[in-house]
Amino acid sequence: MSGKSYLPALKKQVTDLVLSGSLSHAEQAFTEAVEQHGDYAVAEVLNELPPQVTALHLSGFDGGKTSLATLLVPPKAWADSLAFLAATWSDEMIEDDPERVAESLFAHVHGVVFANDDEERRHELLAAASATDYGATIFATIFSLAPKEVLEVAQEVIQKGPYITGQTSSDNDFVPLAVELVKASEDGWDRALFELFPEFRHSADLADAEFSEEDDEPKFLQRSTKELLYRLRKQVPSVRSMPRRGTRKSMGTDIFS
Amino acid sequence: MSAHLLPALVVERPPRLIRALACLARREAGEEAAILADELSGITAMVAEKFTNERTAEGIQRALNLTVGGVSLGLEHLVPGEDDEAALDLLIDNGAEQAFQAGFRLVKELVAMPESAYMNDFLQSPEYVNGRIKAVFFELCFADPQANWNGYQDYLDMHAQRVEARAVLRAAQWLRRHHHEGPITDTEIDAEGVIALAIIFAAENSGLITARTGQKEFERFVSAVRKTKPDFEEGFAKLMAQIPDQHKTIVAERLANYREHCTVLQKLRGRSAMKTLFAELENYAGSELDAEAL
Repeated sequence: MSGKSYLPALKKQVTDLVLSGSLSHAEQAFTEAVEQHGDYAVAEVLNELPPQVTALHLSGFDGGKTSLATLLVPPKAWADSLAFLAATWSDEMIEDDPERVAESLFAHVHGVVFANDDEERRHELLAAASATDYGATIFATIFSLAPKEVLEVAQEVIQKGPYITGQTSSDNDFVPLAVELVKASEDGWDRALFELFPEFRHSADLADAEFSEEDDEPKFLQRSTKELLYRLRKQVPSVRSMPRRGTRKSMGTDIFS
Repeated sequence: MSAHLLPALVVERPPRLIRALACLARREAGEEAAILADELSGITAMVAEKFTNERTAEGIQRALNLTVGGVSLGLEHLVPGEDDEAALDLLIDNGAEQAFQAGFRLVKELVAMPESAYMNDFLQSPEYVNGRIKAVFFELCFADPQANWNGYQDYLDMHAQRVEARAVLRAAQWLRRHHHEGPITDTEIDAEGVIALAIIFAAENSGLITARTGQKEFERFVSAVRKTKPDFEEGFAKLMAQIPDQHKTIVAERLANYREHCTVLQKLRGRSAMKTLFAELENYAGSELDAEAL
């Protein structure tokens, strides 16, 4: 049996499993597919799943849990799926603890980007993810957890371009991600930065002046984590254009029966 | 503070569908709203085609009003009480069509029940019934989404009234089946008339049930009562003893009334002319007086 003919069945199986909430079973289906047909088959399936399904599946695996899907998801498919992550956040979550939501977002992005040591794949993932508006907002949201360090990285970028080391005044997990993003796509980095600091100007002088301020409070406009989360949620695409009216069929004129 | 100084309490009661949809606005955006909108539009289109006019804006508008009321009626029935969140859950889980179907079934069941204690062939004909379905559907379900809607209470009132009418008819039909000359199988029935006859004739204390009479039979009855002077109450007790439990309340209510107010029973023992008595009887028996036996 050729791998190709197997794909639609696997795709449907995984979609159904994910939508019914059985992430571990979906993952198991991937594992079996890898054994039988190799990595390529799974990557292909992940490529073809509707992005909201990919998002649902991947969001179940972050930080501690590793998944075949996080290892194998094609960069473009992952980037598309990011748009749907925000769909599951309620107002309450955002209002009560925006940092926690942002941290889980970071855990997800970090988990996928640093899933293995393949630098080329890492850069492809970051470049694809930061190429969209919601991608920029996602990175801005993550960076909003450590705005001071991000500004330091920004200053270093202005001075050294992509040949940066990522040495900042305090160690945290966000800096390596920021540095990798700069290396992967300077354009994407810029957009994330502007999303976080709408008044940021690409001038060494200005950055220097801002950086020299010793106050904790930035002297220019910074979007809050909460605000960015709301911005992100507004960008969740509607899947309405897809002809899918739930699983319910109209009963037609039986409504008069 | 005395009552007349209190401000008027104006309770806003939009149709149940509108109240359920208001809950939707407070929830996370999802595709449920889009699906629901699709379904409601679909129902409106079908209602327009069947009852109003799907080719004019006015027809569609009227169909929309009917859809709002139809779905609301179904929701009130399926989710009793004030829980609009639960009503919304039902709409999302089972679909607006199911709610509308439930509402429309209520209308159909209502029309299938007798409207009054009088029944004949015409009232049971499909043409009449279909016309009534449309009329009652408009009466109960034509709802302005922006205004208060009382359709469900109206439905409950109409339903209660028809339950009563049906009970009266059933009691009368039982009396007809046990008519002392054999069952009466006429399709036209004036249930109140049948019960009145049975009660009046029970005064003779013969133990027989009379559900229909003519002039001759009535004259015989009057002379017999005047001659033998029976105890009315004994006769009534004999009648009540024969009636099965499910019909007892209906007949007992009327018996209590006639015992006090029935002019035929009052004049039976007197010297009133037969003609006067028969005229009085017509007031009670209505169309149940046998035309051929007159």
